[in-house]
Amino acid sequence: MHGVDYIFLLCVVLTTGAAVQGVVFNSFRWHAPRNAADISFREPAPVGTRLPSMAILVPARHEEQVLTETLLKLCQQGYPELKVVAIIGHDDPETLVAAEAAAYLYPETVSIVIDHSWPKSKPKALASALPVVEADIVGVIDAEDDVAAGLCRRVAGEFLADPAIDVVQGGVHLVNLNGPWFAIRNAVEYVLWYSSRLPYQARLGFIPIGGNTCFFRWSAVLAVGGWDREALAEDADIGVRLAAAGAKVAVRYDEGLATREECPTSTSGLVKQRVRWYQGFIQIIRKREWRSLSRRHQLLAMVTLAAPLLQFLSALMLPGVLLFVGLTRSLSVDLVLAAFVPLFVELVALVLEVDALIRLRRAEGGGKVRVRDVFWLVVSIIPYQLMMGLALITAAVREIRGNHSWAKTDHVGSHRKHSEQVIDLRGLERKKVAASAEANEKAYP
Amino acid sequence: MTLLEAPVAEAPPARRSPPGSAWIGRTVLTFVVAGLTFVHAFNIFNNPSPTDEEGTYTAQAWALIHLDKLAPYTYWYDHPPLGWMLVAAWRFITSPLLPTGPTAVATDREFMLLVFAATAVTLVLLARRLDFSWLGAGVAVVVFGLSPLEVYLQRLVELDNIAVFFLVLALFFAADRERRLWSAVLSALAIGAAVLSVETAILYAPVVLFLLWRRWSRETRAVTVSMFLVVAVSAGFLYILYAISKNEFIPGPGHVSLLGAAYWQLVQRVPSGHIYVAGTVANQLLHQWLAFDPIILVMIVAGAVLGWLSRTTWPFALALVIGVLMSLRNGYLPVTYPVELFPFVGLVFGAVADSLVRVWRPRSVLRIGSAALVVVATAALSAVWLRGSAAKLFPSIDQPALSAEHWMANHGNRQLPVLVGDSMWVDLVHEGWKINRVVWFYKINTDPQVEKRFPAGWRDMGYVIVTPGMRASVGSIPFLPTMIAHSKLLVSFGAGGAAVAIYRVHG
Repeated sequence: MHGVDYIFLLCVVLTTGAAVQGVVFNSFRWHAPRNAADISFREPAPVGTRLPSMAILVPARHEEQVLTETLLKLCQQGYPELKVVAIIGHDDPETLVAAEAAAYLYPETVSIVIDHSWPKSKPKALASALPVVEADIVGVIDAEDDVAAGLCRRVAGEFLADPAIDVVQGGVHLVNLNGPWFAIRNAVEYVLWYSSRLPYQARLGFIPIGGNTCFFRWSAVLAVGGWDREALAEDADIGVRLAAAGAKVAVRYDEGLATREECPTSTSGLVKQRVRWYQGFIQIIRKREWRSLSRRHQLLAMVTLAAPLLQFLSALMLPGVLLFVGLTRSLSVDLVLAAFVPLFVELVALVLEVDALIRLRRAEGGGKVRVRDVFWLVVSIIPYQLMMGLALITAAVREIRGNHSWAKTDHVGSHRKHSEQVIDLRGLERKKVAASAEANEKAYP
Repeated sequence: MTLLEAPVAEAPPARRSPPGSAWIGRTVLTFVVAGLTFVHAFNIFNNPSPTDEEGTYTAQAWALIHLDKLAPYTYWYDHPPLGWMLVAAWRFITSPLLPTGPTAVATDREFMLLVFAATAVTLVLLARRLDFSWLGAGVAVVVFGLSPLEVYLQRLVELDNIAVFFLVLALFFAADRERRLWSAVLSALAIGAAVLSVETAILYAPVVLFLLWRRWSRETRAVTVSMFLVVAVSAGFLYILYAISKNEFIPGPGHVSLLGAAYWQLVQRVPSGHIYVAGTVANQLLHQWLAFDPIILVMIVAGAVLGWLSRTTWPFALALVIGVLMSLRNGYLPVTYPVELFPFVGLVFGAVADSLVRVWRPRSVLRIGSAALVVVATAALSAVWLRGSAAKLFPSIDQPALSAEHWMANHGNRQLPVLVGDSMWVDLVHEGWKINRVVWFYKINTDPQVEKRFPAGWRDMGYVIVTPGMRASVGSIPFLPTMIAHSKLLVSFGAGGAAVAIYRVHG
């Protein structure tokens, strides 16, 4: 054994470890037969049960194309005591028009909050709604989300059935599978997150809450002081603070009740999204609340954070070292065999991914899974991992340099049928603004 | 007709046995397994005499420890190496701690004793997971390990015994009541290890899959079974990868290959003939088995039928059917062939015993009566089997090969190369011969490296120790009669077919 052999073996161990970690977390739904039932929503509360009052916050920015429909669908949930709060920037009249359209139709339900903060960000928007919200349960929905019919009742049912629950996190599906090259992988990643990884983390006691389709017991949010206005990953941030306060998070996933979303429309959009998430994670680790978490929870969070980095580094180093060793001298057979072990684990991961894709297709009416889908799933693994790794490194560099600006993900409504996008409402004129990456750059400099 | 009411995919039922019986059952079965292990251990060093196959694996394990190679000669993919890797690991760890036997092969039988005990314990746990009563589990383990044929074969340093342990382990994981995903993964790793121990274990992989398929409920089955297949195939694929990365997968000039070895095993190897045709090698083997114990062979055939009466034992009946049918074709039949069937016949008869008891109402007189009957029948069978072992396997037998080794140790010239059967190889190396100077008899005209070292073939040898195994393999060493004609008999031990003779070769 030479020195470089040990480096090689270390790479193999790290890659295998990262891959096994992924499989363990992503397969939670299958760990035991009762898990799938455990993470499903309970049966809805019987008719006549007094449901808690609910407010749903919908922060929107340059999303006039999609906002009206989102608000209307929420209003049509048929939930008795529901407030839908659209949060609009003071510099964003187009989106305000879209929100007013919904308010015009449902004046009792929809209210609009103008956010005057600058520069704009999602946590600031959420925080600006804090003073006006009065409800037992507060949910967060993004402006482009298609919320499943009846979700609010099921969520309320969870809070009613178990008074210890402080947060209910619902599922999210990315449904524009015909989008960019990473769309299928991104969508599969979401299915595995919401159906396995997040429930598993919830069982282990630590969970970075998702950015939307999450519902809080309002008293719990107030007890930890609401959203941090400066956070880049406000969802994970409040998750950590709630966990530190001993809150109980329930992750509930049913294929039919998942919120439908679109994945970023471009590679740069995806990278920006991940940079923001990872930088948000790094911020959290630097915060005071972090230290009050137990060692176990810290470790769990670090594993979550470190996995993409490990995968990235080892994915880079493994072929490199293999090549180096192969060129400099004959490679020992043991090392060649060892190099294949992480590949085998990736195959196991692929089983989970294909299954997730089948379930997603079934739930979203996308037809059967074709060989082409599986092909893209496989082909995209390495570039996707490389991208995640680059995003993590970028995030670290940004954090070190003290750059905390907010890079927002673009949404143009490609997950909705085109005919649904344009809603003409009694003389309310809608200006269509092409939401492009450049426009967003201007929005959140 | 269903003898055993067997819940398969449903939730595990409440324990049927009254409280306290678990403790008694556990204690009794501990004694049963300990007793079986004792029977296996009794005179394991001196009976049976080491076979050349045992010698092969012992030497290959020795080569792993001392030469850092898979075999003292060119490894030619005759079998996957996991089995003797484990033997080597065991020798490496325990050699300073445990007593050594009269020969290297005998010493390695210590490991087989451990393998037997581990298999027996796993079998009991498997039976319990399948809702066998303690009585049923006891019958299963006795049928698995007490027949003289079983004691004989399970004592041998043979890869099949190691594979059977992994096979039973795979079944144990596949029978998980909780149906955890990790159980399926572990089961896949175990069946992979079984196949990496001896390639024929792949015949019984469908049995594990069958059990797994039935055990897991519909919602989780697809993912669980897919994962099982991916992991099992990946584990087995390591062997192919090993060959590929050594550029020894596809046959070519000047090197061995996995495909070449597989082709030889499946096509070129001289078949043993039909087992039911008198005079064939397979038929002789059958008589050899029958001489040890006809009962267990009858039970194997009966089990292949009886096992279908209860859903619990379907997978095991399938295994027995596979085993019996494969023995009927005109293929190569090794002496250890029945080894893989022993756990299955045990499980089937354990279940049969169980259903004879459980067909009656709990705590009824009939139930207690039939339980007593089962105990008595098992005790009677055990007595018959023990008598068989006492006659054939407990006494130290005269070992001409051992005497020949002693003679060589005292009189042999270490500078002269020796042509030997595999079982003597490690012992002569321990006695001071250089590894180049002790030659497995069939390597002299099959291994290019050996041919290069001894260009004149047998004429370059100093001694030849002619064993019964060598005389039986004269087909692969046609030069033997000529060689003996050109040699001087130094000493001979034993008489008739068992004789071992040492010659000084004058090429």
